[in-house]
Amino acid sequence: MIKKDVEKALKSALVEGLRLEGIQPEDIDDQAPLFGDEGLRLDSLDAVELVVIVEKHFGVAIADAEEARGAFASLSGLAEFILARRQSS
Amino acid sequence: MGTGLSYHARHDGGQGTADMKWSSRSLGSPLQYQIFHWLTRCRALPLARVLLAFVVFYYTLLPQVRRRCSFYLQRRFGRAEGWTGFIHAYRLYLNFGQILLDRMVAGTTGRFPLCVTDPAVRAILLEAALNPRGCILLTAHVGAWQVGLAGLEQVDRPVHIVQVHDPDDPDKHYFERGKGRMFHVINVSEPIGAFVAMTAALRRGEFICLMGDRLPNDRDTEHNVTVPFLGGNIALPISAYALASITGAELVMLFTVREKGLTRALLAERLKVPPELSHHDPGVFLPFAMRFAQAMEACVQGYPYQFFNFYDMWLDEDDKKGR
Repeated sequence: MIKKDVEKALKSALVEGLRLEGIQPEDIDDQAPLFGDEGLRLDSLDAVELVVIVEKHFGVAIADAEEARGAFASLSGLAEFILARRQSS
Repeated sequence: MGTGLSYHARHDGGQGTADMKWSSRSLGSPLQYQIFHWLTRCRALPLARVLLAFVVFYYTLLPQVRRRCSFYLQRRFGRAEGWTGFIHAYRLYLNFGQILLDRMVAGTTGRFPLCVTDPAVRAILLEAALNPRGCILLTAHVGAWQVGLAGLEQVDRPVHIVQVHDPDDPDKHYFERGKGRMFHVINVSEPIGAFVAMTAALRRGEFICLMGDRLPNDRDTEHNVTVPFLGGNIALPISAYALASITGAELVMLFTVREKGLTRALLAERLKVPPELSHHDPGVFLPFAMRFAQAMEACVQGYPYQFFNFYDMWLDEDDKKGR
């Protein structure tokens, strides 16, 4: 699986899993922040859902806050994290 | 208090209720704290308790200290002026001081002889521990919550306490340094990381302890619901219920109290939260928050001097309209 495929699958999983109303998968900017005042503007409880989604759809666990800090920077960052984890396992 | 009021209100100088905001800072100075710590280590606990009575008396004389607990006391006992009001405040703060001292003893010696757990409570906790998706212990700033949890040795799982970590607060993090049961603290100062850490712990089948009676910060109006409590309305966070719904973890409401020098679990009840409820619609969690508020009210009816939210947690009319 290449990064583009992971990003595409992630976008669909996010829109469905987080119930992002009015947002299509293709609307999500790869580089935009997932949390905070810009980008998808997800909140702390969305982070919980995101951990569960990543584990359910990609079989990758996010073990702690330190890992999440890097992985949750953007959708692209999350895709890289998933790929790195899958390659190392 | 000499041992520190770990959770109290900060008085910003005004007279209205809006200026009373929750702060995690202790009231006592590090020196006062050290005196109690030294007495505890020297096994001079009776002396520490006598000293505590005087220290509490001194602080209760201060109008600004009495004011911090007046919001609750007025709700619980009605308006009480003069000597009666002073007695209520003194008994409340003395109980709080005793519980902090218990915690100090437990953290210093590593012994938890105080804890008594009802067999029915134990059964609920053991059953909850069977869930491979972990367990959320939902409690409140009522009674001896921290000592009570520390004494739950029968739960053979790592326990994480979710709290605001304040490195300047000497007495708050006793179990991190002391000899007591190892607690892992999840610092909620950084909410995203904290919720990820909570989720990860639950997915390892571990226990996390959340306080269900305070909002993580003043601005978080999206993740709370308004429920009746002691004749008024308060806002309670939905985090625990949403977390249980998303992760499939057990959710056990647990209240511990101090009674005749012992800490005991007063109430343990499983709350069955359906999966996949949306946290973007806080109203779906209202029944669970109402049950929590009812249980908290039952606790303070039975143990009126063991409610330790020293700020005005009741919403005024404007707040209610805005929520």
